[in-house]
Amino acid sequence: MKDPLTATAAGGAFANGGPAAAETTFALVGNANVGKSVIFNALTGMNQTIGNWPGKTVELAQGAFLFRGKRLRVIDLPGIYSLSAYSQEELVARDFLAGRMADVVIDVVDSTVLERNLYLALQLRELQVPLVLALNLTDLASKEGLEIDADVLSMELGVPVVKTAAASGKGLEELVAVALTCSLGRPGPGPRYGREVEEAVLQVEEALAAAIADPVTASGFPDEYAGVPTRFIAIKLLEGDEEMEHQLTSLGDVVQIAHTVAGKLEAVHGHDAAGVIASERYAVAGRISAEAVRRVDVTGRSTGERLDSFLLHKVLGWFALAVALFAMFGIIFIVGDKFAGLLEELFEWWEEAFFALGLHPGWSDFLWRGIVHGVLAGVSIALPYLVPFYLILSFLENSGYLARMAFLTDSIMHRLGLHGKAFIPIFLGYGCTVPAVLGTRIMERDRDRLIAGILATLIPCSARTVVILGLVGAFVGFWAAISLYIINLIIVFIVGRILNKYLPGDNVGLIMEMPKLRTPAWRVSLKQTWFRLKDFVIFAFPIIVAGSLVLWGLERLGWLDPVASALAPFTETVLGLPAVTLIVLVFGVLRKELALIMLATVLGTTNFGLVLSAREMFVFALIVMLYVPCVSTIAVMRREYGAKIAALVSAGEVVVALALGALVNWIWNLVAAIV
Amino acid sequence: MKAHTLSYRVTLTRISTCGRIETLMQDETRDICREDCEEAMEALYRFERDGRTATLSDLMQEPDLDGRPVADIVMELALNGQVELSGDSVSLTPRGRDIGHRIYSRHILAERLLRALGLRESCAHEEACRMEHILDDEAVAEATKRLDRFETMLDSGVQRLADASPGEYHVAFLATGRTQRRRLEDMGIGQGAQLRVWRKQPRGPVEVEAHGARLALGRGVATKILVAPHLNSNSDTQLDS
Ligand SMILES: Nc1nc2c(ncn2[C@@H]2O[C@H](COP(=O)(O)OP(=O)(O)O)[C@@H](O)[C@H]2O)c(=O)[nH]1
Repeated sequence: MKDPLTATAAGGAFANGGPAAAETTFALVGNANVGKSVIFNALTGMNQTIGNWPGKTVELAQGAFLFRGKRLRVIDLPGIYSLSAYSQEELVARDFLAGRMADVVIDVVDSTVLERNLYLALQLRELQVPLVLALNLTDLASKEGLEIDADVLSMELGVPVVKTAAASGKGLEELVAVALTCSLGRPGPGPRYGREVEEAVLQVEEALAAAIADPVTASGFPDEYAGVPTRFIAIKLLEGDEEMEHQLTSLGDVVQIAHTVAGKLEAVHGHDAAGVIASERYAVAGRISAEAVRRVDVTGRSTGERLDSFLLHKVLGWFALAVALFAMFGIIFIVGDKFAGLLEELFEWWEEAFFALGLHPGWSDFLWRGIVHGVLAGVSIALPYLVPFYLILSFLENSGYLARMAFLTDSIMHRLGLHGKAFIPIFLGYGCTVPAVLGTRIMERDRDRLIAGILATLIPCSARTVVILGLVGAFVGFWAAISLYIINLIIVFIVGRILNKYLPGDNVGLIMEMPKLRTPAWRVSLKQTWFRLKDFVIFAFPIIVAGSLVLWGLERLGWLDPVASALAPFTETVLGLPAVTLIVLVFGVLRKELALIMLATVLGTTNFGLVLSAREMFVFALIVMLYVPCVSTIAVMRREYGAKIAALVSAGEVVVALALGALVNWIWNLVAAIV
Repeated sequence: MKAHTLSYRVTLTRISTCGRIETLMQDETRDICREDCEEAMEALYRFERDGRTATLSDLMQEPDLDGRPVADIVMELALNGQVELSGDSVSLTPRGRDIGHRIYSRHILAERLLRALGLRESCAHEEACRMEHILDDEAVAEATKRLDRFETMLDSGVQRLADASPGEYHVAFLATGRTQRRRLEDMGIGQGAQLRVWRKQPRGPVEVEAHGARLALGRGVATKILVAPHLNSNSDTQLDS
């Protein structure tokens, strides 16, 4: 077995770590929401890293662990439903598996929807990789009254099957033990399909074998496919798989032959060959699951179903959604505020203690204001708000309610050129823009990712909410603050329409699995929160500290006031704001969460009502709400969409914010003059 | 079949059934063209189908031949060996019958199509009279087959998934683009697949169950999936078989 890390270009994905000398590599594959990450986390514990597949925005987590004295490596592939090449995730998973980068593939399946999960399992059998089926969520299956015969399943599929309940860790040890025995050989071809399809596959396989054997054409066969079974290649060619056709164009006339054979299949069935093959797979999956699954008690409507008819109700569903959203924000802000307050007190106490140490004043100023302050500021946003936020998010995801939210909001999102899934990242934007932009990965297409990402940056995150509520809400009035949110929604809507209209491509609709409602496992949610928080800290802290340093430097060098005075005509006449507020706006790019504190510093008071008029506060908050997202957001945007788009979006948002600020200032003055 | 030139003067304006005023010919030298001949043979074919023999005056009263130089056309056809004249009656020769039949089929297809698209009967008829002269016979045969299938589908209660009320259905046709179709097929919603509609959001997505799994399909997707009610699980009527 070649070393998976150096064997292909994919090595770059894991260049950032992991034990180098792992002997056996497992890959976890499966549909979304089957418990892959739970299994992955249970196996690897804290020993894991997340890498990016080169050139693709698909995350691959890898980790290592020791099992009975053996070092094992695990790679968690993205959740997929098929091995066709229609989404980046599928393509990545397929490249990975076809490239034999894993010694054993563990296909995690949801036993409560076995039939649909077997569709992917059958494709893995076509690929003839060493395979183990992890029959997961067996606890839920037995709760639903399903009894699954693992032996029948194993016999039908021709690979070992292990029952697991990952959330409680059941069966995982056996899974690893069985998987290890599988690393030795490759299983035979999987279950057969209908006669017509098999004949067609055989014809293409023969043409393929002939072309490979012929020295004239053999060079057209890419080396990476040397280990891929001809059956798999033949099926993909029949399906009209563009990637496969592209790879094999110079291999004699194999592609043309496949087209002819596929054409015959189509003539018989009346729809395209890929559809015929897909329904054959489902026919086999249906047969196998009918043989292996027995429904022991046929109860009526389950609790989940009854709950669904409420949560997805035409009217009540929206009510439930509104309650859920309010509760969520209530919890995040109440809990967050409390903790933020406590942390601040703690840090103040630390600060006093630090300066009491009696270091050289220049040094202590640099250390504290330049570095420690940045870290502490990071901690005081990350911890108090992100912990409850991530916990609730994980709760929503794991209970299946997030999908219900997408279902309800699909028609609204559709008008923005998006579909229901986009609700999730855009909604996350109210918490923090960084995870929101990262969250756009749940959508399949680049276009959707981009639109959702841009809209998410416009949504006021918790840092901007602090400014809106702390300034306008506290000193102008509740309704003024609400009107800012309404203005925001209108702008989001307009920008969405514009992007939808002018970005190339069109709006494909929602095709989303609706996971069953379940009670989330706390252990899993806590772990998930921990990993997300860790990811955020690793990613965002360096930027926050760097920003804090730059800020400190600029202040020390005394560059800020001259700039502010130079731009004073613009700030004062066009925006109608005091010149010093410009400094706050510039700093706000680095640290939006500190905008209010900085404003207090430059104005010399926290009682903003005394020094700023209602108009000034409103315009200031409006600009903070819309202009460039913070540095961390720009950094994630660069990572997700590239530097050009990140720069373009940031610049565009500054322009929009300033223009709107000027407009509101003008209107306000006009109205004031009339009244 | 290029007709030899006959001079014929007409001045004729008529109001078409579609509401347009069209000037067909105006003080011009009128050649007998292919369309005239085809139209006449089609008309004769209709008479034959109805089991009637046509006379010259019958043809002159045919609305489809209105404004055409019927007598000259019949002369032309007789010269070409496409019709036979015996006394007053005009009948098709086998060669003429073949052409008449082909034109007739094209007309029927075109008219059915236009009717299916919602055009008024009179308008569809008139447009079909124009289209029948330009359609390709092979394409007509293929399209007729598909249209037949489509109409059987409509007869069997096919509707858009977006309009379907909760219940059991099977997928009759996927009118989506390739990528979306592949996605749906991978999720178990291929042509012929059984599915159950659970609920739908007004002007929003539909929740369906296929192969034991629940899926939410956006309204746009759901309007492109045609489903037929599933009567019982044994009569697995696939449209294409
Ligand atoms: N009851 C139960 N829940 C499980 C089990 N395995 C995973 N889950 C839950 O299934 C959900 C999805 O798991 P996750 O690992 O995120 O799925 P992935 O998308 O495949 O990575 C989580 O809420 C888990 O808590 C299991 O064996 N039993």
